[in-house]
Amino acid sequence: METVRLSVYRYNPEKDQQPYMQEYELALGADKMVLDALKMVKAQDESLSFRHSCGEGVCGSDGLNINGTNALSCVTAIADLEQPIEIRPLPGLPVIRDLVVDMAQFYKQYRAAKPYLIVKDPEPEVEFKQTPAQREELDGLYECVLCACCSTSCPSFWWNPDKFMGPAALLQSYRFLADSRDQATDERLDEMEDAYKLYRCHTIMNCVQVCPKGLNPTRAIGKIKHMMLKQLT
Amino acid sequence: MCVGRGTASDSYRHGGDVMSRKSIGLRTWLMQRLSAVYMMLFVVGFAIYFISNTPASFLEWRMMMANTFVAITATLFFLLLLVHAWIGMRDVIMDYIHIDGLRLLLLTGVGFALLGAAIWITKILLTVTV
Repeated sequence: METVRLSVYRYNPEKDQQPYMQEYELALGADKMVLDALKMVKAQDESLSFRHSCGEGVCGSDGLNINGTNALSCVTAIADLEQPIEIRPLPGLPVIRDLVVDMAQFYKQYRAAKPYLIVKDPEPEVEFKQTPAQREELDGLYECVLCACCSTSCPSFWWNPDKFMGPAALLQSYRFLADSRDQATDERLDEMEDAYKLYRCHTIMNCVQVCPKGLNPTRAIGKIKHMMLKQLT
Repeated sequence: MCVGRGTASDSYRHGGDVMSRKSIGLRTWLMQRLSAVYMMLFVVGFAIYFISNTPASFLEWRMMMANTFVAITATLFFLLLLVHAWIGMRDVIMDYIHIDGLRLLLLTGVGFALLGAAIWITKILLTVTV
């Protein structure tokens, strides 16, 4: 057992005038994840609020800002971090309480990407078929768990979260543009044709750096631009 | 919902008319990239030309710049530099300035300054005589 020091962002809008950082010291095995530490804090101090569910990087509900970098707390090892470990809510979104943020803006942009197949032909009576090559096009796109680590690390999303779709939604948009079964390519591209939705991306690439699933939204955004260019000519 | 969430048939009608796309986002982005490519080619090309034909005097320097080809490519370089700067400044202002009046003021200011520079540069470079 080692001593793990945490510094956790606390804010209860019903009680606190200002957010503050609270220090905790825990006796915890060095092989544990940040989420284990938070759960241990919760056992001592049940007023701490944070989201979590699966505990293995699949559900995407425990995106947090850990030592300045967005990550999923359940797959971030304490051993890899400098102490005290500074844990804050995801940046750029309104804080509801402690580490819980209001994701409405993020989901609104996700919805704007129309993350579902749009088919104009009569739907086949059996399944839609794809060749293995067509299916491979979706690798690196469909794995997104919508944890919002990328969009909330993106300065363009911080400044214009209402107008810029953000890396997560744009990755999803490309996931359907790249799908051989989708028939709404023109409409999808048209809808992103303004100065904000897509083009606020300045290839800062924070999204690529933080994605816990190792995805590359910047590449997807580049491919959307490429598709638009092809349509223009 | 601010973003169009029409039905599939709505977007079908809308999407049929690809040629009428305004392409504001794409065109400015493309212009930024293309101007960057030209500037890069010009800087490299002009550097090579200048090193291999370094003018020995002010007169020779003026003669070099009075050459039609050099004058036109150099003027184009500076005009594209200003276009590139306009897109970049516009992006910065769009990102950070969210008060409509202030944004309009800054965009107008930057626009006039760049336009003035464009006229001045063109006047200088295209009127070099020996």
